[in-house]
Amino acid sequence: MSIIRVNDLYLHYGTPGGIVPAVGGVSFTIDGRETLGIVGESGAGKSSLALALMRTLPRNVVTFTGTVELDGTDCLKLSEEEYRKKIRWQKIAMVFQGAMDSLNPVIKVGKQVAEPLLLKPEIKSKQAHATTLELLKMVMLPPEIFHRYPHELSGGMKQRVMIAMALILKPKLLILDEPTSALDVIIQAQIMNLLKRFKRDLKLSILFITHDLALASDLCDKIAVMYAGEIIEMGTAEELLINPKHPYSQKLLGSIPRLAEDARPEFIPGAPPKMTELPPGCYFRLRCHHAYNRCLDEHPPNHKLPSGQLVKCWLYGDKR
Amino acid sequence: MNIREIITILLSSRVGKIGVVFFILLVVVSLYVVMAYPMDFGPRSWNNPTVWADNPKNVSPAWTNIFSQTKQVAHTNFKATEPNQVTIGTNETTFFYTSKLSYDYDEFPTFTSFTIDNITYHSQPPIITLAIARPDGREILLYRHVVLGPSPSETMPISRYTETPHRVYLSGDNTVLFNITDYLRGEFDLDIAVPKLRGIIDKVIFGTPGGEGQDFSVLQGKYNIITTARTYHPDDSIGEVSFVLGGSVYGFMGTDATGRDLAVGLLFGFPIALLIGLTTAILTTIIGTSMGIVSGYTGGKTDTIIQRFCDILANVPLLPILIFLAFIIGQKLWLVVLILILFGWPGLAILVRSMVLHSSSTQLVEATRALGASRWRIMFRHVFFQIAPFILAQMIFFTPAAILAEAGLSFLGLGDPSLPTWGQILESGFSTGAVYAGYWWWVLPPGLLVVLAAMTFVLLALGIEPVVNPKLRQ
Amino acid sequence: MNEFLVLNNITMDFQVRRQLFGSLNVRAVDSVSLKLKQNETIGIVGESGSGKTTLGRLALRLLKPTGGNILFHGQNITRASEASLKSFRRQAQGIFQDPFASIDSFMNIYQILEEPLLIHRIGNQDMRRKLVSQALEEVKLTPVDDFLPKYTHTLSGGQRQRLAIGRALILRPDFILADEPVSMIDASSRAEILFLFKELQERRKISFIYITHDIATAHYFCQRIAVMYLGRIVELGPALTLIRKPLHPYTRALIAAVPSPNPSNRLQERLIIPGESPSPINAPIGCRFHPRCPDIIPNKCNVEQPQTITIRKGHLTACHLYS
Repeated sequence: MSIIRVNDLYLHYGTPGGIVPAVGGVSFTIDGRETLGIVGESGAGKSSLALALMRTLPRNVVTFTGTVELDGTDCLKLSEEEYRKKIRWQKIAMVFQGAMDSLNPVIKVGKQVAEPLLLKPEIKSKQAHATTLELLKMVMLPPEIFHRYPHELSGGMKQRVMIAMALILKPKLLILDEPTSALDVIIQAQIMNLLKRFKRDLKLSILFITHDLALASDLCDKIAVMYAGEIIEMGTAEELLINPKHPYSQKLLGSIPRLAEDARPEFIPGAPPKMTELPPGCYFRLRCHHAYNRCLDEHPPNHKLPSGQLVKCWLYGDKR
Repeated sequence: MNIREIITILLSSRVGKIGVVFFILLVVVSLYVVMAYPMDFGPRSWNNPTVWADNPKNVSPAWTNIFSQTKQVAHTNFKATEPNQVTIGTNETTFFYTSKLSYDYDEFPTFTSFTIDNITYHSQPPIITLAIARPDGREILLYRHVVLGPSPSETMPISRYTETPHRVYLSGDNTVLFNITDYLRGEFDLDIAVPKLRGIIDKVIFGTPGGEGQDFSVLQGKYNIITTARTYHPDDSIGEVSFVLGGSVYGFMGTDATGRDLAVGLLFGFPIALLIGLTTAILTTIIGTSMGIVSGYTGGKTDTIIQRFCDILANVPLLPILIFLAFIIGQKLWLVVLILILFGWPGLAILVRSMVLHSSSTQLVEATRALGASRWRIMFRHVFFQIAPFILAQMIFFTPAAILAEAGLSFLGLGDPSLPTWGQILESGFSTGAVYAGYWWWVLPPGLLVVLAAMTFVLLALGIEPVVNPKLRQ
Repeated sequence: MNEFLVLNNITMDFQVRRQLFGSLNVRAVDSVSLKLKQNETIGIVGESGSGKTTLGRLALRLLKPTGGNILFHGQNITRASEASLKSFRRQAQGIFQDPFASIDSFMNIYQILEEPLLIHRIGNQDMRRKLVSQALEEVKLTPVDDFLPKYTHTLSGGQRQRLAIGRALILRPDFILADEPVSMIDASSRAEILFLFKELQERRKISFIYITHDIATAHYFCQRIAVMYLGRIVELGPALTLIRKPLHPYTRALIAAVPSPNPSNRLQERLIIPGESPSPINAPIGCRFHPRCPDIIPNKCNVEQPQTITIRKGHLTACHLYS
């Protein structure tokens, strides 16, 4: 039973230099209690995708089309007012990238976590206080954190606060955008363990955005790889991490430095294309060892493999 | 970054283009003024009432005539150096100077005056008379003047009115007053008391009395201004005679209470404003920034000394010092600029210091230290550019601030009265009550020009920002 | 003995202002000894608060240690003045964590690379231009002529960091201190930078001190690894041995925390130590790691600080488990 179904999402920004595509035709579904990982380099469009789902896009958005079905309702068709009252933070919540640095430095932490609750007229402050304490406990923070200020907390603690804040209205979908990128490796593992626990105990669907494929393996049931605004491969964690099909996914997997083996990590030469200068044909072709003439001219569509895995690559299409 | 690149960037944005246009305008006007007018224009001409004696006082600009219901009197100076007619008698020669005046105005003139310039005589002093022939056939003898006779020490030939012309304000002259009284009694059988007559001489000359001799209505038509000069020696010469019809409008920007052409005064304000603004801003910025950078980056004792110095300077009251120094040294422009710079740089130094302190703890400074860069290099090659956008903005905003400060100080009477700056013009406007009298042409233009100058620099600042901050370039 | 950089018992104390009155002494680095040989790379691994960054600054003499001494090619540079350090600075270069902050965004690429040459008065303009182009080629920012006039805000994070490496290389230093050079770069671009480091190490025989919080990247190109915790080195040894057979419980925890791309990871929680690294102001008594240690010996670890003991050749640790 899918909680959220995204179909054909397109996003374009208007800049002084012209119209820049950010997300091009992205489609995916997340079922209840399922975690989907979106993996890609910076600039691939992952954050834009998340902001689109939250409908907190910047003002210079020019095109925003597609459908986002949450429990049957098309979120994009709702007015801003309706979306804010019914969906945002209540059905979908997000921990933004670098959010822990945007906590209000002059308001106590507990009050900030409780804020979404306090904004609801039907909830009294005593109840909100109790719920907040419950949540702090859930994210493994001692209750006295309620009365602390953000600068008194470490990075790991602040990130837990952000997660608590996102969960306070019991959303169905939690979006996490690079939640551990600024944290030390042990704290990162602790937070991942926490998220694993949530996955198990709460009926939570998660959209996990990261640039680290290894990190995605820690939580995600399904993984989608994004490149230049498109999903170029999507499949189960097993499929992506053991036998990735798209050359980019393969390189991505190969670039992870492993402790166990002595293998030299591969790297992908070159850089992703500038979104203002997208080449014709496949966007990855300039960096791909397997590119042939079809890749130069025609943009590959999504090919569905018999296993259900989706690959956007001519290597898997019907060869002509 | 060479000049051509800077100009390209400046011209690439709309605000930059507008700023450049205005700036060029300011510079062109200033250059024109510097070339066309002598440097001592201030004391020699501006503050010299005789230069402006022939102008009407407190009148609005000539072009306001377009908007007025009634036709305003155009200020006209009827000068004559050559007589139209010469009558030679046995012992005397009479020169007749006749000027035609076509009076089609709806208003009375603001004043009338008569000037005699450069007379030389060899025996008896000449006699000059002035009369006006009106369109209704009446003629008024306005003024009769015998040139000053020789004093015991003088020998013939005698020259009179060579350096200072003999100027008579007919509107306020007593002999003219009596002549007018006679005229009224004779022509209209009117007897108006002398005190009342004193203010309406021009109305009598150019108007027809109505009723009881109360209201005079304008008599339009062709007038003749007849000047006669009777000389008693063939070698006697008359230089120039002129009759001034005081207009109710004058010039491009009107006149002030002394009759000074405000257009000239305002023009002169351009180069002065630029000079004051730019000099003060640039010097204050250079000193303030350098001190701030050295103070912030070096730290320690140097920092403390500089900061305490800034504290002292910042707490000294500007005005009393200026008044005191103006009293001792005199009210000079360079003194004002010096004071503005001296008390302007500490504020900037304190701000720059705090920015430098922040910049110093960045990875950039760390990395550059690791390269082996000297303290000076780090300060002025790196830290400086980090704060340069702020500094540039400060400098550009200092310019109108300096212009305004000078205007303000002039307004308080502390400025240099010998120079016609916009502030001085504003000051004279306020102190003579121009504001209350509604003489908008005196008060609004200098204010608007200060705004124009300030706005020019703001636009330039906005246009030049991408030079300092590469991220803003297109 | 070709150890050209020797840190002897280095200690670094900072004064921290507490509330309004009084200041506290915080020991960021505590009795650290390290010797760097020619053509060697030592990795310093630790979490935030471990003092690794401070140690890096000390190794570049950007800070003066409050205790101990630093020898460079035999010369004592511990208290040397900035002026006399100029030749040291030429031979010891740095690459820092934030590629956006450590490079001046107001200079174009040519000026950035030229600056070290200008500071140390090397060559004339033609010579400098040649060296700059060479540096760009070495870090594979090509075509060179395209990059020279560019400003850094047009570059990606990975490209900027490569520029920083080029800048560090241009003076042909003996050693480079790389402080978390890849932490702010995407995982997929990291390998490229590390590969470049390894190439430089092999080709140019430069020694590196590589500071990181990610032991996996240290494993890739360091010969020796030192693990730091709250200002002390808790384990130091050959990279492969340290990772395969870690001695100190903290090292083991760090290794266990590294994510690997295994799909079954999501089905179980990882074994990790609890809590966070405390602030150096509140360093625990006895062994600093004991509150988080899974192998704590009661009445020993919370009382006495362990001494550094050599267990195998070149592999030492400070832990009561081995005393």
